[in-house]
Amino acid sequence: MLTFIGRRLLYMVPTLILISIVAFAIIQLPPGDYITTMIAQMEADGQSMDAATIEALRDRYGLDQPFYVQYWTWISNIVFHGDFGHSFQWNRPVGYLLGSTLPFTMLLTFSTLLFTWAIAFPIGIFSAVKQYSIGDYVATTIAFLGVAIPNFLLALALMYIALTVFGQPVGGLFSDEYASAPWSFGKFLDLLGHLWIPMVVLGTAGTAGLVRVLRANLLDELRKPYVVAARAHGLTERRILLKYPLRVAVNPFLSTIGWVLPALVSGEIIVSQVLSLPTTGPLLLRALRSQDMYLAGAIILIVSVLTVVGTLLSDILLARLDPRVRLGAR
Amino acid sequence: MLAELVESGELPPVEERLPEDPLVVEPTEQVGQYGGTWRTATTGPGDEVWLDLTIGYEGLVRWASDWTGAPGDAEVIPNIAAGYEVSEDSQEFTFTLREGMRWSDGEPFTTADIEFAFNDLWTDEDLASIRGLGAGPLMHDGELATLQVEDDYTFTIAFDQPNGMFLSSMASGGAGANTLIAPRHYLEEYLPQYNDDLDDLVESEGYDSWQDLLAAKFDYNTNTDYPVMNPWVITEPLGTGSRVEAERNPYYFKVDTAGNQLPYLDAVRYTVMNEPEVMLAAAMQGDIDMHSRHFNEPANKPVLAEARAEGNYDFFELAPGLANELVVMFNLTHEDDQMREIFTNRDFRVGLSHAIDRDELVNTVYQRQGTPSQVSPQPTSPFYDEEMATQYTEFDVDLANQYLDDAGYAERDSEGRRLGPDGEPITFSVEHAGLPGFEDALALISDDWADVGITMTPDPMDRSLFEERRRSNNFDAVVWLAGGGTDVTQNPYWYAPLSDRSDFASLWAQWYTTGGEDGEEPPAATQEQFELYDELLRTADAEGQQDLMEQLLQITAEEFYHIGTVRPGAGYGIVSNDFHNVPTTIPDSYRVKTPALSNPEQYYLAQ
Repeated sequence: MLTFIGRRLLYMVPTLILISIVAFAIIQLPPGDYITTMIAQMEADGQSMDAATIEALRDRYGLDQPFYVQYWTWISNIVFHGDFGHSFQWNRPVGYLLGSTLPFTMLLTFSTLLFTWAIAFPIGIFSAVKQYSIGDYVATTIAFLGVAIPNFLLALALMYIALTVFGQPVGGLFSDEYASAPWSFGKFLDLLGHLWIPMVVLGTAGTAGLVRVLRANLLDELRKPYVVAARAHGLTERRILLKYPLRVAVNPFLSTIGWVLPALVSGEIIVSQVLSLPTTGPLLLRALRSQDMYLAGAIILIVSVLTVVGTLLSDILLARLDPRVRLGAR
Repeated sequence: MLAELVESGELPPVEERLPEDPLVVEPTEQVGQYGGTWRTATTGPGDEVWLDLTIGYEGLVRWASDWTGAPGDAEVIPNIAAGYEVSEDSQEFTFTLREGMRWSDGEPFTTADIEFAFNDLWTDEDLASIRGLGAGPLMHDGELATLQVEDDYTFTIAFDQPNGMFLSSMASGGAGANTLIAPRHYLEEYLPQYNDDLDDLVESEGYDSWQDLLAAKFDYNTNTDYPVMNPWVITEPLGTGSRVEAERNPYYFKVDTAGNQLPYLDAVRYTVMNEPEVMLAAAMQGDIDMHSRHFNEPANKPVLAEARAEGNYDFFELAPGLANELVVMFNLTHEDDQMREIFTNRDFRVGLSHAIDRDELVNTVYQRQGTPSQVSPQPTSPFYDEEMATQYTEFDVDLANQYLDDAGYAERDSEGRRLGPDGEPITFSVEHAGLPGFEDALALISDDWADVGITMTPDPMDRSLFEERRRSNNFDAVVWLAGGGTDVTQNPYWYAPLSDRSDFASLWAQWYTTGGEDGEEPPAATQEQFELYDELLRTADAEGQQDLMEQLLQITAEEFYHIGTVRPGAGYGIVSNDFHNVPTTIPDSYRVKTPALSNPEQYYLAQ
């Protein structure tokens, strides 16, 4: 097991280096740079910028340097100083920007995850055990709808309902009176009052997907001879179900744990954008649009690193749980 | 709101906070009531302009709220300056400040601030990249102005040449900061010539250079410590939060006609909404008090009109400042000789202009708002010339064909496509950045032109890519909105290739801006326009400017550089029924800072 982990850790080094280069390169691929975006924006307002100022800006932001110089400055600052650089658009350190959006992003992703699992587990088991029952049909129908409806559409619909039925203001995580207030119980309740919309929206598709996967896997297992054997030995239905087939069927949950880690940081971009949530999603979208490359690069890099780490974690978990994975790795 | 602070001794009484001769603002309707919050919205960083346009317009001088774009300085009025005098030869401009005027932190505002701003900020080339800085209006005929301070409240800015545009460009201010307005007592610390330990400060604040640190400190949107002269001071900065909030400036230097200190409103709140669609929904619900950006497009007007009663708001009018909704600019300085020959053929352009069904554009693309027109000043402008506006706008396919035949492209292939000089069908693409209406309008124009045997393909692209291609002169033709409908003398790029915004002849513009070093020498008529405009910049009296600009426009009409389509009708903004003193019509132009020129400090909420 230790050599397994050690080898995996070694593989991660070149992977991460490659990822950092690709991440930085991709951001620079679109034509133009942050300055062009800035000029375009100014022109839409009827302003203009003279050539000397443009030159001065490129010089100040170091945009006229070759790719490898820019990359090296960026990555060496991160590795040696933990400094992710400055966001052009916000005129603030990237670290500060992430620091102010990450807590909400993590809160949102984490609560969504709990919501998803709390609902998907029982429903999945139920619809497998009681296959073709009315309950199964209902759950399956809802699950298919959840998979089929795009998240942002659901967000828009819920926003409309919140607006017309409950008169709740559109978007955000806080009401006006709490937005800048210090933390208090009232603010916490206010947060909960707003959190449910993104939670439900983000959770629905995830729940639906998990229900389908769990149901299918469990159905496969329930028909296997070892279940029949167990039943013949007189074990209770409950014990048979929880001890053996479920353990196998739960594999997909664990292999997706690896994806939870990056999601904690990146959040859901489109839904957050529609709901105006103060998470990293809209931050990334805006940075990409305006080619604010150090901000975009930092988020992409962190997300990539977490994906790699997360994959390792779920592999370790899987290996612990499922001897077949462990033996295969050997 | 401030009475308590005065009572507790935290704030001096109002008489001590106001200058000796405060600026008296005439309310639009009536003297208002104190209190309340102006609720509006922003899309966040990248949208700083909306803050500038609502609470950030306080320069030495400003535009009168009934601005029409008349030439000369008649519409420039004193603001932070109590008054100004212009020398006989229009070379020296003497400003007087208000005694006892203070920054929002209570420090006095004197010529010491002006001197600092002039020498250490605006004329320092190294700082030109900071938003709001750069010599701009202080540069004339390639020479920097000089500053002479007489006493604490009087200073003179002098030029080598007569300067006819200085006051108007000062009135238009800059983006992010008003020219020469900067708090010396606050900013000194961030300049190396005043602070020997600046390097340590840069280090401890986590910046790479002192310029970066200064840029951050100089920004009133994100730095709440920055002292301002604005009616409201930002208390919650533009940043990662879900809103931006500004509270009243207790030292604001303006009063109403009854002598009450302005502003009336206690605060301005900008809720951050990433999507204009979400903003639209908020507006319909009545969550926005007054707004004229982001969602005020013609297409949204019907929806907003329907929700008026429910949302308790109504419209106000924005007097259009654009010269055209969509101008097709052929590349008259195309890199390819063949294409250049076709595009510079005036008959070719006239023919294509006649081939466009502009009424159809107005009806289908622009919701029946607007008038068929070439690029021309608005009828309300003193420069309006009906002949110029309407020439070649008549939709007449026969006439169009006649012109195109005369242009020398009478021969056609079997599919009816006209053949160019090389015997191949004439085809070209029109690049655009997908602004509202462009796509639909170009589809119609493309059909119209196909009917007269010219193949045009609209080519939509991302704005950054558009910008790159435009600047590298790498295109056949582009479309954009044409400015200069009312701000004619200040925005002449659409009438002659005077700046790199003049896409129809970027190489000629380059020739002009580099003094003949780069680019290409334009034809004589265009050079005459350059001379006229240079002359205008040196002319101070209104009649002289009017006369020169008219001559310049005459040449524009004769040269017929580009094809205009539709002159926009009035725009709109929304205002809550409880929100008062917003004029029924506000001139709309970035140059006059709509809606800031209508004095937001005198807006009030009925309590």
